[in-house]
Amino acid sequence: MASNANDAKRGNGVLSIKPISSCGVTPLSSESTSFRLSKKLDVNRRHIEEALGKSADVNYRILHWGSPRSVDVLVVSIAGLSDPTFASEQVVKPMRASAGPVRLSRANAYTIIRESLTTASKVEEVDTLDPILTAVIDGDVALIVDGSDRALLVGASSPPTRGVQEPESEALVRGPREGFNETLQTNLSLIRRRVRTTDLRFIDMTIGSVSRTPVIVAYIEGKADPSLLDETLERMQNVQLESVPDTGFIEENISDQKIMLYPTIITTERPDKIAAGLLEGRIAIIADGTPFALLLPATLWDFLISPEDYYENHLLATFLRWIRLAAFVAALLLPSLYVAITSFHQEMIPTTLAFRIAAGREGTALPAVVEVILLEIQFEILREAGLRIPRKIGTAVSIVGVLVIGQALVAAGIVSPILITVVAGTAVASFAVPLFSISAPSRLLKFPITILAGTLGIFGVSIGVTLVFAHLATLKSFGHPYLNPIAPLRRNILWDSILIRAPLWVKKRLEQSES
Amino acid sequence: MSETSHNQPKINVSITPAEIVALLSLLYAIPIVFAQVRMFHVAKESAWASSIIAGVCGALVILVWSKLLNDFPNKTLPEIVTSVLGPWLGWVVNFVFMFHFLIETAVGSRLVGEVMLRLLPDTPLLAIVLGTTVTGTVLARLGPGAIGRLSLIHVGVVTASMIFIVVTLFSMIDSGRFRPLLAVPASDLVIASFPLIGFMGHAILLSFLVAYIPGKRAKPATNWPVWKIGTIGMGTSWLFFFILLLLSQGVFGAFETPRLTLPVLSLVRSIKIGAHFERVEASLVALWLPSAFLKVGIFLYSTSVMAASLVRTPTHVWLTMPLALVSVPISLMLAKNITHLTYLINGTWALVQIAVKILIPACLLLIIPLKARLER
Repeated sequence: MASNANDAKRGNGVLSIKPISSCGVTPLSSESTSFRLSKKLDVNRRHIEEALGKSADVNYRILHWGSPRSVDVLVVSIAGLSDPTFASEQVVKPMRASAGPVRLSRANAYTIIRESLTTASKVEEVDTLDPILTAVIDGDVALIVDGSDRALLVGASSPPTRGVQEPESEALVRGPREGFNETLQTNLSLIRRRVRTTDLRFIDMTIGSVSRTPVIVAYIEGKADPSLLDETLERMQNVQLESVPDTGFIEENISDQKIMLYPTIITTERPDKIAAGLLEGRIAIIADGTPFALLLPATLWDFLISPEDYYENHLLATFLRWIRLAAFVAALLLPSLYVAITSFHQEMIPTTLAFRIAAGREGTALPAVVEVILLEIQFEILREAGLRIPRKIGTAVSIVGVLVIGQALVAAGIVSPILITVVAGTAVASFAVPLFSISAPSRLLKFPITILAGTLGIFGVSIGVTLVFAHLATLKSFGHPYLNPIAPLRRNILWDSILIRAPLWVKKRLEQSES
Repeated sequence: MSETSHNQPKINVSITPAEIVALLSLLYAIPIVFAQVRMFHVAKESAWASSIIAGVCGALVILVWSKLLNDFPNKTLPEIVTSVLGPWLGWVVNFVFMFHFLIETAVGSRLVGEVMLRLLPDTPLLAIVLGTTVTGTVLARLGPGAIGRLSLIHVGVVTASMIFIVVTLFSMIDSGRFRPLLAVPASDLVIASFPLIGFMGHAILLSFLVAYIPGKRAKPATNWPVWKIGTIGMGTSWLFFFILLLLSQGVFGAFETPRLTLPVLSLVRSIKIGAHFERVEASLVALWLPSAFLKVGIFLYSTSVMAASLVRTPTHVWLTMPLALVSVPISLMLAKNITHLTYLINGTWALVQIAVKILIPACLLLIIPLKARLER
């Protein structure tokens, strides 16, 4: 994208309307969409019907207005997306009230209607079919008056929405309970409420050649790096999708890496997290139809830090960061360390414990590595099943899975009792990180590392860890190293990241010295 | 880096001075495993003095490289050699360097193999060497940028483990084992220092890394000077070695240490805290292993870059795997067993290292003014 265009968009704080063609989005695919409106209502209606097809949810309502010679007004809307009372409350009533003594004719009807729509939130005049179709699909109402080659688009969008609820995937003990929902405007207002500055900017885009999903790029002028913003907008422009059911589609298309193992963009349902990110100079991407917003750039450690860290006492938060880091490592390495120790390096653990493990494994039919992999796969199946089945029986399945199947496997001599503890510990550890997306790679990587441990012991574990960290060392999030601030080393930021949550006054001082 | 001469492989690398320092700090693996044996065997209680001699020589080596890299701030080793010696002689010397780095890679893999055989006696040596080489190959393909970042993370782990070792073994040190301070003639001190002096030649890696510090090519003066990077990096590596040498002497004594196959492994094996915390050698080796992988990775990278400049290919990446495969049989054929390997590394290999990594650059440094005078 040309920088001039960016500057133009960033210049004012108003939600700017961007031409569809410049968004890399294909306009509605029909020759009739470029049709200029006729003065004959029947012709206009026929073109609209051709473009929208015989869809059951498209409402065409003809209002006969005036007497003895009435003027016809066509009201086009989509049921469910528009306010059902709109036509009577916002069009008919004002029209009747405003007409009064004026003699109505085909020549002046359009003007009278336009001037009567004083209570509508948005009124736009158009003379071609394309914007009419776009507006109607977006939930607005089109008014086409017989005798006029112009139409009025009136803001009446009222799609079904879910209320603002607590985000289920990122619950906090202390902190705001509000989470994003599927409505873009609601989500923007949740952000605006937390960042009440005139420098907050929302750039709108439309992505999805078929879905035409509204997407917002949010940032704070003066805080966000202009080059980062340009890079983000450029990548967004290049997204070629038919639809955007979730921001995950955008994430995959704009990430630095085409093959992603670890996430390099934060996904969150929390407006407070987005607000904090914006204040740090990051950029947020919010799409209509999904409660998950994107925040970029991100480092590995951002996924291990919770907003709650800054709502709680800093010493407790520091302790929790240690716990989370330990959990992150455990989710990746616990099964492989168990295999390495029990198969090759029994001397690494205290003698009493080694005897206990050996006694538990006595009589088991399979090598430790096979035991671990079987049980981990079984656990993954249970976890997946737990997500899919109805909640009411989900609990029962968990209990059956963990207790009954686990006990049965131990009794059958397929796995040892200590292994149940190890697998359970690994699973619990994977849930201890604040963002699910960062524990997902561990779920995948623990299998090859366990196999390495089963063949080469602690040497295999070291190889696995080295390769994982080598991969992490090469990752970048919009050009920013993924292991920042450790590698490359940035001492000032290091004091409030990863392992330490600095008191706010220290954080402020560090930020000042960093800047 | 976009600024490359015609025969320099085009690579996109960015590395910071701190990352280079961290990488150099982690190169102590070979001396701590093998050099101690030779030093205590020859210099006895005065092994510490040999270490200091090696440290001083190491500082001189760094000065040599610092001068050379300051004279050619925009160039890496193959470019410098070609610039000084011309295309034909330069090609021959570059080949010597390439072959040397290949052997260094093989030595690194074999070292890991020999150490791991103490912990995994039933595992074939080939499997361990292959595992090390494959890991090194991945790192070499990712390039010095990734290796540097990984080093920066790992150096913290190694430092913490070193502090742990010192603290846990401190009570086992017998001060009587340090007497007499100077037990052997000066010539023996110098001879004993050869393996460590050869190791200090690893400063040659600066010639592959310094040029890729962002802004270094454009503004050399704004970055850390080369001598500072080299001194802190190699100095830290030397310090790790020196601490472990003193611990070996304090715990086992100057006569017992050379009889041990792997003194450092025995040293960490003797760590014991209470009744439950003992036999930590496997844990510590696991923590130190990435250092060895990084070393193999950076030397394999250097080999590939040298090879790419010899065959004049635009990238070194496709050469990494074949060269790694070549290094595996070399690694296995280097020596019959660990005793022979120790003998090789402390004897012939130390002299070769001194010749290739110290004397050749010193000669280059001498040739530069002579060449300039002749041209005038």
